[in-house]
Amino acid sequence: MPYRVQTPPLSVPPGQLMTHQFPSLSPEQKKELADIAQRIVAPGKGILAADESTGTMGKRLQKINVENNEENRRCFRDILFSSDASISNCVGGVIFFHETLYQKSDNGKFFPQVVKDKGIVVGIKVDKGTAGLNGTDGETTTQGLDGLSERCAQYKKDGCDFAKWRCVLKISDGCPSALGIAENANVLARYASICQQNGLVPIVEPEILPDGDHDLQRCQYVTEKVLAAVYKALSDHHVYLEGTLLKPNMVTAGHSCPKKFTPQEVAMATVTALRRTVPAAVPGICFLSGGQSEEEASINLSAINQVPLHRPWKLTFSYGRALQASALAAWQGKAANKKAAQDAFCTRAKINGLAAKGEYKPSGSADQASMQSLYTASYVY
Amino acid sequence: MTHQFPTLSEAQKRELHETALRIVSPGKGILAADESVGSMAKRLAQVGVENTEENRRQFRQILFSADDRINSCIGGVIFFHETLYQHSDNGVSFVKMIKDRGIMIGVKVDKGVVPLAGTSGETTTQGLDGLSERCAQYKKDGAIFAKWRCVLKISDVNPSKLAITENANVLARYSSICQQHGIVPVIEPEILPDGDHDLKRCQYVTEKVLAAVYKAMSDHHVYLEGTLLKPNMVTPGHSCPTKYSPEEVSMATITALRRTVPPAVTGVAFLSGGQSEEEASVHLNAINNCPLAKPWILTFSFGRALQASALRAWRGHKENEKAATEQFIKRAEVNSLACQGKYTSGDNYAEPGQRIYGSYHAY
Repeated sequence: MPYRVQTPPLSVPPGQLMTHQFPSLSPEQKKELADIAQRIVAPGKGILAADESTGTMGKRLQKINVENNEENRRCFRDILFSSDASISNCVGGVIFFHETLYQKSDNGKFFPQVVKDKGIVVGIKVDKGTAGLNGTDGETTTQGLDGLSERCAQYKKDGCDFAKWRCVLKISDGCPSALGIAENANVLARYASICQQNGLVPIVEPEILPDGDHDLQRCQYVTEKVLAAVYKALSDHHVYLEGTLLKPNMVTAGHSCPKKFTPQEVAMATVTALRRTVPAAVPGICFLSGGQSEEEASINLSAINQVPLHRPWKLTFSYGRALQASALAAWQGKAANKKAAQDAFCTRAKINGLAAKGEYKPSGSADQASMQSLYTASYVY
Repeated sequence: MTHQFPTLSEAQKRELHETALRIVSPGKGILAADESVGSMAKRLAQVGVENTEENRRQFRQILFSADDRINSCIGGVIFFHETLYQHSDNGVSFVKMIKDRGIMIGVKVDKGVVPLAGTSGETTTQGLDGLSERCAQYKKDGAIFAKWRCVLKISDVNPSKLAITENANVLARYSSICQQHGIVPVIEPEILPDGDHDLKRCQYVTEKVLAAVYKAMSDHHVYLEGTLLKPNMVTPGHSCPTKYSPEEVSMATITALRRTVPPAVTGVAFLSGGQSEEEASVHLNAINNCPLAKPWILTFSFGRALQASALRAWRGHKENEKAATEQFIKRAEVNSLACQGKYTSGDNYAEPGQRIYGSYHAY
């Protein structure tokens, strides 16, 4: 362990020089970060991931034949953010894209203020997309560290209290490789360290894509290896875990896996993987929805919150598509549909709020007692 | 990093997990009676007893002949190799005496520390050679869990990166081998209390060491639900001028564990290190009353802190045996309360609700 060897001044009592190894955060800074994290994942609340980049928004808008211009992007975000204030009962935080942070609502109010006025914490995507890792089978790391400290300081001034950075890994015959895992874990830890220095809670997102035909067990194994590396890197970089959030994939089979798994199996595999890797000091785990449908993402989240294993962190959502798909479809780019779009969004938000407490029961499904029996599978994960 | 090659079957995992749970059942902890011949020499010398095989057998007999009161306090006993094959005066094997009362049998399997060249007096622990075969034999001879002790120390330049990674690695190799034989590994990365460092420094070092230990466990595909951790409590160094309350020790300890020990680990059984019997119990009690959420069982794996009074009462005299056994039973009962947070001693002057745990942001 690197350590400065220094001749102690005679006036310093023995032991006082070795109190703490190069302190990184003061107790006040730690408290601020921990409080922000707790507010975001307060019981029954999760995150609206509205940070689609310009390119990604293009894909979303294309599906409803809406032109991808700044005004349309503003318009759709306005629909979401101007929803009834009661949305704050289920949404603890909103992740913004840079452009959106400086846009205004129809009323002329800056979006961060609109969101903050509802008691919701404002977050910002700070990564700059993936970059290829030479010598690997199509793996990537994520860039955006250059000048990140200054950017974070500015974002904090502009109303943000948390940030998000997405790394991407994939499962295949040769992936993820040792380099893929180590490099992405390291860059996530650097990002997290820089954020905390600037009063932003870092959301750490090591997404393992669901592409492929691998089964549930394989995804669980890979998820455990990836998360173990992530938390070792966070320890190495002296990140204050109580002031972070994790945004992982749920453990699911690959999209082209011929075998189908129940929500309870997904839930058990997911919680088992997290129990083996995520320290209890992490206040909350906010799942990404990946390629799941809105309903799938809600049902799985609710099942996760019913797993009969001890879960020391909050388990909630950080959904993009799984919160917005219906709203987008209802909007169709037409002002007249604004209310319908908002209703669709609020409906999904409420459902996910319930799911985050393990209380979502889709109509026609079995009651909780009978669902419990589905967990006592013979399979030991 | 891509594919999982099978390590343990479902049945093996289940067996390991259930064994771990039984050792740390509520109210129970571990009696570490695995002092090597050399360590026993030191203990016996303190009470003027010669270090012979017979004397060692007699003292262990004093512990093992405790009555049924210890059945609800002791979940497992760690044996030294020699003791595993010894018998009581009545010719009953020690293993049988312990097993028959539903207490799990453990065995120390490491072969002591060896120096790490190029470091400032640091060590690793040996014992991996033929460990697989030895585990198979110990399992046949009644052992169902094992213990391996690594040692680190705090100083101006220690622990070094090498010491941390080397000890973490050897602990993971040991764990992996044990599990293949249905033996639950107790993982002991002891950070010595020697030195004048304060509580914060010990906490910092403990966090770094444990993070490395669990990364190594992951790398070696160890099944965490089938393991137990035996760490030091987070305390100031012996020569630290600042004194800390049990609540401060508790907060520092729990904070360090929460940041590093995955919830899947079944139990944490603290070593007592150089603490007195009462100190160790008071600390364990404070740890169990810590207001932070604790996803693992927190209990004891005490050697000296369970045996010191018994040893002093015995002093090698047969007529003192019953009194000595009583001393041991008393400490076992106290620690059974402490691991449930229910121990009120003279030192614990305040009610649990009144004890000042303070803000956790300072840790």
